Amino acid sequence: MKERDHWFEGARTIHIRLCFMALLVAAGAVVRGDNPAQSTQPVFYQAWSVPAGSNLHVRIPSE
Amino acid sequence: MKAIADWNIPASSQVTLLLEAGIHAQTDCVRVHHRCGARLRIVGSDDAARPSVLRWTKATDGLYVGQNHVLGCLAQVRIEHAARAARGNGSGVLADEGGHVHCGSGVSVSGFYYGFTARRRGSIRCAGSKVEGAGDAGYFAYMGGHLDATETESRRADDRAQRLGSGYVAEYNGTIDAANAVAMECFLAGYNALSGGTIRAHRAVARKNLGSGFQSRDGGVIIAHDASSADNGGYGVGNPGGGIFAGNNFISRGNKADREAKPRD
Repeated sequence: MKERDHWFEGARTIHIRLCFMALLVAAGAVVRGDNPAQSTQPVFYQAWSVPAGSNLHVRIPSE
Repeated sequence: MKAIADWNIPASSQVTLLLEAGIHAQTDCVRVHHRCGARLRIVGSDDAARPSVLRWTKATDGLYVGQNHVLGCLAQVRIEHAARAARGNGSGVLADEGGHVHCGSGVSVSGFYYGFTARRRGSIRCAGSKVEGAGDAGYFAYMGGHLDATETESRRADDRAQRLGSGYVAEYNGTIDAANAVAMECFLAGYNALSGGTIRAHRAVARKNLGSGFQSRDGGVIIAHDASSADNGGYGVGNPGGGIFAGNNFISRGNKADREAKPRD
């Protein structure tokens, strides 16, 4: 019984670690998904909805 | 355009593609087929000394809007073809198959065979724009296309190898509102209505064209109240056959063919 508890505790720790890493990745994606027009390196998403009531300017550099 | 092709632009928002001053070289036709195109703007620099130039060098149309799509605003942009020998029969701005382009101020086209073309229910509001150095026509509406080309200017349309070159051409039920427009130094005619095309040319000016100032034929109609035709190489009003021209308070003076046609005392 004790041996079984030990195995369960180990698995739960790994599970918590994995969840924490997934949260970090998700947070990174949210940051990158901020207004592309305002980022220094614009990231364009194929399907993106412009926020309601906004007037976005996307600067196109010349040669 | 490809980068934002699938963006959704809500009714309360708009997206402006801001072209920095300088040359923007294009390799192919720019097709503006965006589902929210009415809220999409292409705007250049308002610095007249350093304009934003969209430049092509091969045989193609410049901006193309078709299949009932809309470009909500095109402003402060020079649309240029830099290699006339290789320009083919392309248009600087082309609205086709129900497409619509709405131009703001400061739009000009130079070097394309056609400046602004509307065909097959396409329409362009290009009031205040300028076209220079076209081939067949600076402003061209045909097959049911419409151009709102009031207060515009078309200069030096000239394809003398084909005996073509008019500032404004309406053909096959194309219509042009060219009120207060100016056509200068074109090879064939300033304003040319052909085969059922109609031009409204109130207060329009045709000056120093090598051919006639106004010309209608084969069912073409020009209505030009308070307009003037002066110092043209051909007639003030030419009618080679079957066209209609009407103009109250129309002034025609100094046109070479009119002088030569007058009987001598």
